[in-house]
Amino acid sequence: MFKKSGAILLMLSMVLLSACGGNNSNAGGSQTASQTAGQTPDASSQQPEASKEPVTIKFMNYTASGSQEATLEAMVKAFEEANKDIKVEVEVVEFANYYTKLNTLLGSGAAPDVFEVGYENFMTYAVKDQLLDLSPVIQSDASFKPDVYKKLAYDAFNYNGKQMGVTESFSDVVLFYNKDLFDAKQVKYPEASWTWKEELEAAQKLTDAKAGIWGTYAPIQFWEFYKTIAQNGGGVFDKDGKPTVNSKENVEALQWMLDKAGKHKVSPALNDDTFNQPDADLNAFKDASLPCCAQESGTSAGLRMRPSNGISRSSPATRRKRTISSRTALSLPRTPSTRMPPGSSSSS
Amino acid sequence: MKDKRWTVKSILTHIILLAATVVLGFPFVWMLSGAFKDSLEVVKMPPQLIPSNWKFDNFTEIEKYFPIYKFLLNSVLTAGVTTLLQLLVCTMAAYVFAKIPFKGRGAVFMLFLITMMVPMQVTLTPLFILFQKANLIDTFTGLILPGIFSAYGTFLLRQHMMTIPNDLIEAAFMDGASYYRVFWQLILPLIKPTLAALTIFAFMSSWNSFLWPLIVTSSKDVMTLPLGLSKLQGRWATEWNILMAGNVVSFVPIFLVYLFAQRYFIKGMTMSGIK
Repeated sequence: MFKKSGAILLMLSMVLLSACGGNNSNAGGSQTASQTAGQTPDASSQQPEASKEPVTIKFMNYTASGSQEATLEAMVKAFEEANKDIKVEVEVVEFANYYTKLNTLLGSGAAPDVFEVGYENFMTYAVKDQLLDLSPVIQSDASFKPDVYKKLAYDAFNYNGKQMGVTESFSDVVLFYNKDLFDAKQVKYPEASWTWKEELEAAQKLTDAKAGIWGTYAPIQFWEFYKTIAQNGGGVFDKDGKPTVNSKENVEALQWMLDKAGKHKVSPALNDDTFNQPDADLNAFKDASLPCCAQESGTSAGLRMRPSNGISRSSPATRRKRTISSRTALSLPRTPSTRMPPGSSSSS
Repeated sequence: MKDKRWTVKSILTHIILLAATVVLGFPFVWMLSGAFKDSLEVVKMPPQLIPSNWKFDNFTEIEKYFPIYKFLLNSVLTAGVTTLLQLLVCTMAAYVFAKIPFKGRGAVFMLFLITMMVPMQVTLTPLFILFQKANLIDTFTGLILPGIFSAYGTFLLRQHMMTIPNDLIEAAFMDGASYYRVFWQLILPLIKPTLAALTIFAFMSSWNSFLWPLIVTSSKDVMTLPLGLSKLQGRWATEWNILMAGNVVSFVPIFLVYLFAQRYFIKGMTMSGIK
């Protein structure tokens, strides 16, 4: 669901790096195991170095929870296939309770060998020094190339010069739109060069209140706020770490978010209950069977709402596109957006 | 003579009760109907009570997320054994606190009651470490053990046992009965209603228990139903119709236990209220 997208830099903290470094499937097993021992006094301490015995890695995560456990299983299988001496024991915990469990396990010294930590929680663990510093391993492993990762995403898990995690996945803002809707109103498809102005112009043409079509949509909430202010050159903190929440750029950005609904009426009103449902934007897009969803960060343009009818017709050409409808480029890692198929950029 | 049933007061009472029924009943009805809807209709606002096309495969689709019948079995086993053991432990402790005087009994009982004030979250980590040392992590024993002790249940039963006249027990002793026999053949039959009430409470709390099972289990062999249901909730999206179907499955056993003990249950509630 778009609205909830928190920062999604997930990382594989501790261990797995050499084993999961994306494409390379070297013999990371033995290395992996020896590092674990340093971090957690794990009861099932694995054999360090050299042994050819299969090593079992416990991997706890929440991303697969919901509907992607089978996907993850397939990935694990492929990984085990490539690393015959490593067995992965996967545990999937739903997000809402994930950190409760992780904290208890960490507190009891029974933490899994590898676990997911979202960027928003990473600092908590890093400050308490509860994550293994991977830097030495990274340096000694010639086959591991940090530059296979998006740098911003990779560096996010560097704390005080210590690499305390490896990027597992990050999400990007996408814009998707319904070509049919654009065609019907003879509006040009969104382009990379678009800014707020072009988005608004297109949205105004696309909006058709009588037919229940909204021109564009992005939830009005914090997760969209910090992305929108970045588009406007603003930020929550300045370079010296001083809070700048009420800066001119930020106020302007917030006003823009509100204006789309309030002033220009190209987006559903804030109190539109239909849009406060889980996945309402996605469903509206599908349902609408026409809408285009110009997206600036989880924004859908040309949403067509048919509140009285929840059954979807065949969905039209849904285009996914990187968002660009911004004045300034979006900063990548802080721009979560859609739910990502875990396969796409995670590398576990 | 006017019909007494339709005074202003009684009408008002009925209106309030009716409103409460709707408020309490609606989520339940919504769950039932949601279990048979498709994923779009289930989130529709305002909610529609009767599905426009009935979808029965929500129940089989749960299997894609987790092995629901395996989890169901685990839950029945765990909750069943927990309930039985809890009844046993609580009645025995209550017997001692109610009918067998010893020095410092009052103080011990106070300490006992104080444990009710300590929330599970506080003892979670120590408990986990303890169980880890005892090698009980990810086992049924680990799931069941913390649940068999209940200060609340002991208290409930003790209060009821206090109402049993001492003369009765003394008479039994005179006739040569042992502690064991007094407990088993005299006390237990007398507190049946309270036992039934506690059965439901114990089963319900064990059935719905989430936090401890979440922490203590890690493999699907021992996971219980609430953990499985939580798997239906993704971080970004939740298929509510499937979740509702899961909830319906989870609801059935508890409903059966309730039906079974209902008669005693209500009686037990009134009794503990009056005496």
